[in-house]
Amino acid sequence: MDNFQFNLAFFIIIFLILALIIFFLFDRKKFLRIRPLQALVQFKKVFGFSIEQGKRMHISLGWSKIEGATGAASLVALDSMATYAQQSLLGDRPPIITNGSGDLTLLSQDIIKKYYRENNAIERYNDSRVFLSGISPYSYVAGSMPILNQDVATQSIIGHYGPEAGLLVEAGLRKDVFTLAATDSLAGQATMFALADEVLIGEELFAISPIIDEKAVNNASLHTQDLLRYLAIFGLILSALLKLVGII
Amino acid sequence: MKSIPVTILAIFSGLIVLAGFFFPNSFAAIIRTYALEMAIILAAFASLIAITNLIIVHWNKIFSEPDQSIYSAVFLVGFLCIFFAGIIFSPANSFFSRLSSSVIFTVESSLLALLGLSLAIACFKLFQKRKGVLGIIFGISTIVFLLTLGGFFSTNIQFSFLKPILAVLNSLPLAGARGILLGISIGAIVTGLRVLIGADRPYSG
Amino acid sequence: MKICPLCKKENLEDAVICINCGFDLNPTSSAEETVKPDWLESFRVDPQNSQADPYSPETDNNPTDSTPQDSPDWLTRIRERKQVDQDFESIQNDHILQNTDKFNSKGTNELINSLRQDPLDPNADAEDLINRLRSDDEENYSIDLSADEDDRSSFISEKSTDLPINDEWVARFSQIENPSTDEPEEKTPKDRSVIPEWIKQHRTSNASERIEDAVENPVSNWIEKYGNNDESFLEKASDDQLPDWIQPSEDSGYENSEENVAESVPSWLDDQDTSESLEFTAEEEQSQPNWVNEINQQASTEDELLADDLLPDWITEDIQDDEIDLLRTSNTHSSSTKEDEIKPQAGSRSMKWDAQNLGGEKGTGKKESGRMDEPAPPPFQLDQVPNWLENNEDLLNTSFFEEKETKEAFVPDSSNQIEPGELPAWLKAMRPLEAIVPTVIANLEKKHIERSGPLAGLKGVLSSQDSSQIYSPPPMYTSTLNITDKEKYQAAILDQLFKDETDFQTKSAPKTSFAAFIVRLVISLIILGSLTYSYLIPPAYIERPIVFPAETVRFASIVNGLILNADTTPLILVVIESEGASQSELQILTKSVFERFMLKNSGIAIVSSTPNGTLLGDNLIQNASVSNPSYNLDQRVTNLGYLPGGTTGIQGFLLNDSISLPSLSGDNSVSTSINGANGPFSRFDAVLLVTDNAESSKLWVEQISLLQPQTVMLVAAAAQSVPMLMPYVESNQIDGMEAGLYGAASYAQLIQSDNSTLWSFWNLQRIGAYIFILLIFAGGIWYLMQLLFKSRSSKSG
Repeated sequence: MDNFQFNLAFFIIIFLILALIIFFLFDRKKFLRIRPLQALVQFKKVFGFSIEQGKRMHISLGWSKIEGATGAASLVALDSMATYAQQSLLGDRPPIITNGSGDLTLLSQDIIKKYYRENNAIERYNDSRVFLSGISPYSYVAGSMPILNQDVATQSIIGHYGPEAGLLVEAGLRKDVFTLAATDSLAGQATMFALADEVLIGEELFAISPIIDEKAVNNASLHTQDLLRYLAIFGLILSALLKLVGII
Repeated sequence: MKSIPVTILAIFSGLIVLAGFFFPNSFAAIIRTYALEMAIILAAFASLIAITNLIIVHWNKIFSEPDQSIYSAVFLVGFLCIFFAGIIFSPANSFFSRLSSSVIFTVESSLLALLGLSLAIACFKLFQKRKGVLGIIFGISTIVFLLTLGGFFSTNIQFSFLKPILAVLNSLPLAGARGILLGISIGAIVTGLRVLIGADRPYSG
Repeated sequence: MKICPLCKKENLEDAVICINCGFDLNPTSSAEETVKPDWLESFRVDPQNSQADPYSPETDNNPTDSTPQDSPDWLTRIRERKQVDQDFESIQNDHILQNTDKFNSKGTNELINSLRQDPLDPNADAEDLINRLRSDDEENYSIDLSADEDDRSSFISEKSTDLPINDEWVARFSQIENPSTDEPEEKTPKDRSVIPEWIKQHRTSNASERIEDAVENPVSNWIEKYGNNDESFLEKASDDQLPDWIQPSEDSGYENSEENVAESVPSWLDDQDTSESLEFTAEEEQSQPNWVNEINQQASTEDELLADDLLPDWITEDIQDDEIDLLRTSNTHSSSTKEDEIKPQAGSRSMKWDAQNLGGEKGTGKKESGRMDEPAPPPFQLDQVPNWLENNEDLLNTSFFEEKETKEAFVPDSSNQIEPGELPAWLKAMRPLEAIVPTVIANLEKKHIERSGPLAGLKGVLSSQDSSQIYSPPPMYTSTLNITDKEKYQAAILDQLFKDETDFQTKSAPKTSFAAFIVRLVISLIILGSLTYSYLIPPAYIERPIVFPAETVRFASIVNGLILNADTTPLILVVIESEGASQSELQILTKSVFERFMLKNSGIAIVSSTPNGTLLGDNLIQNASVSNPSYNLDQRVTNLGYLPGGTTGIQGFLLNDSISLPSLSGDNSVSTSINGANGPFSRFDAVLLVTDNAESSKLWVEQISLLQPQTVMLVAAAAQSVPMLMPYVESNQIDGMEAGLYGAASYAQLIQSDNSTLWSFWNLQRIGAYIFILLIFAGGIWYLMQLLFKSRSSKSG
């Protein structure tokens, strides 16, 4: 890493931290309004109906390790899982949570136990509802598909997936399971766009937490992300112009 | 109360790793190296724990869900066979390599082929599921990619006049892919920073 | 007149509770109530300890008693009873024959039946004795009420020798005693011991005459009938055997009375189920209480003599020992108010409670087993009060246990009588249990005598046991819901509303129609058929690419440079980033490349960040080595294994961190050559990334370009990961790339390789791409047709 890269990275990190803190302190109702995503709104409706009908939900967290480059998608998956599970844990049929890596398994079990403990229902926790279904992408999908036979009405496929997630979505379509899909993989997004009921494209994945869990820090994160995107767009256009005129 | 010391530990570890990344010759870089080694070992143990949990889950399913017990039984039998074969012959053994690869790759290839069929049906239902402009754009992009990556124009000289047009069309999805990658990268950075400042605590169970 | 301390309302002298507020005017803890005026109290005291008994009632609380103060208590009692017996005999001799026919009156029969029917009646103890006696002697059953007095007297004299006069007997006897016996007006021996309490209900202004009638009614006969529970006795009892006073005839002396017998017998008696009573009686006849036999066996001669001395003559002459028990029960009530007599007859909860208490006190198995068969008696509740009690003002004023008879007896002038207040229903409902049934509780606490321990002989000192027995489970009610047709119709509408909501589907119904199945089947068959046909086409007829991608051209150039221009054999690091699903495609992609490297006897090291990647690398190398048998796989190929830790592991491997370094031991030449001082990665001439996973490939590309920028980076990527890697090609982070089958075919054309398998798959891929394009168009056309048909049908409709 040369000096320019070091200075640029250091600047970006400091900028992000300050932006997060400042946005966190803002009144989100006045300054930090978020445009709702239609896919999440629709899924929220269906999810509510499924709970009323006593149906089960399948929450798939993907197979990316938390410490990997695609771990951000797994963090979003854990956050969304916490929100959905909190709303349906004490229902007639608690959700089933599957994942494809060991660290996701431990973290998801920890979160689910936490919510059971908070609701004074820790005795209802069952390891067989939060488990690792496979350690490779296709084995993970193959291990998750039989879960759809357990009276599942909705499933959220949020996390890091490749095109193999299409098998899970297709199985859901056959079982009349409403599917919300969001991933950071381009191949996975293309597959889910063709198959899933509702899909999030691109960086909309990182808008899930601010929308479904209206916390100030999530809103600040999303606005900071937008701000960085504007900076990137400005930098690309500026560099193209400079290259066009022959400066660089 | 339980999450407070864990959060402090997580933030401290993240800052140490970040400082070691920015200052490679500092004391933080040495600590970072050890922290990463510990993380790798912990991740490996997490995988072992998760696999153990998976075995327990399937063992319980054999008795609790009779209708699906056949899958769990097959899983347990396969796992035990590969596990004891690896212990007996060692992973470097050619017999063990062929045994495991013949099963794994065959199954995964079959699943990929099945995915191909599902995507073919999805292509037929594309405009029923995705109405509007976005569906049309997706359909056009798919057709362009299939033509270019399929080598359609590589064998037909008579359609060479289409090549510049297709090159422009091909650059649009690539540009879109770059934009998506850029957005995802920014989102990943922000998400990581949320963990770094303690705003996002997936470990606070 | 008693003044209520709570509401200051004047009440009758004998009133137990205030007629206005229900306050207990006779607190159970008062010192007065500890005094037992009843002559039967003397039986509670052991004759040997009678002088030490602090509860000797006769000498302290009976002002009418003419016994000198200096005379002993036992002598006083003997004299007293002798006088009573004499009075009783004189009355009985005059009227016993005249009143026997009154026994057959309807009210009396019902009264008897009611007493039989109540399974928890305290008099059931007497029934036990009677049953035992019936079983002892056949003659007991055939006692004729009209028999001569001498016969009966002799019979009773015989039986009186078995009279169990001891403490236990007295204790049991005392438990059904009336707490209001301390009224001085009723403490004459005659009233207390001779006249049964229920007789006093029918007192008229001519008290002496009515007392005579009451006395003349054959108490013993009445008790006999009561004791004879079999119906044969009832059948046997004719009208002429009953006393006149029981007969509801117009000629009887009761026709002028304010209340005749028929009226005094409550109407609830008509509702009693006789069969139920008989069943219970039969159950009781099957077993005799143990305590009776024990008492009979333990009766000593001294007790018998004492009994003969203490008991009045009329008892010894007229009744048997078992009947004495019952008679004492009745006589105990004789000194109380009428409410105590009504209570057992009514079969009220309090009476059951009394019986329950008695059973518990005795500890006899019979009585308790009887209660076990019966449901637990519910506590007293206002809504369970019989109508006859609430509506019959002659019997009840403000409480169930107050009676008009008592008031009239002590209020000579009716004009001065205070109009009894009628409590409203809501006030009754609010009153506590103690306010409604104070006498019950008072009876309980007074009648409990400790038989052992330091408190032996004391009464009412330990009342917790009694209190605990007051409560019992609440009664069970059954109700029937009457629904009209209109209500049914409305309920159906409401049910339909909810049904519509519950039938809501989370999404549209599953479209598993036959058409969908056909579409799915047809598409699958088209793909499989076309691919099979294309695979059968000879390679010579397959069109080969003549225009090559730039990245493939660079790829071929770099590989050729590594093979041809290198002074030494190249050392290639093969990174496998695949789980094996694309094994076939990757095998086609890499076969030509590996063959080229093997021709130069290049050293190959395999590493992967996935567990399956190492296995896949071995398979790819072995597949390529088939066409190069001279290539020594054992010496020139090494598998570095799985690289854990994802990005961290890759970074550590590139930076030669010890944690990420795989084992390099062995005789492999590649391992020896890369095991240098600068780390393994610095020894490689090029890196070949074989991948179908764009994300993990990005890690390698980015880390290598960042940490080892001088490294030659080659990529052989499956088609699905090409779009993600193309930006890195354009940014020159990837030096050369073989992208999918198109890139493999191009590379084969560039190096003039003759790989028949490659051309077959190349043809398959092209046809497959065309089929997919056709499916997209077909689906679009199908959808447009659906829209068109829908719009036409909507217009026409």
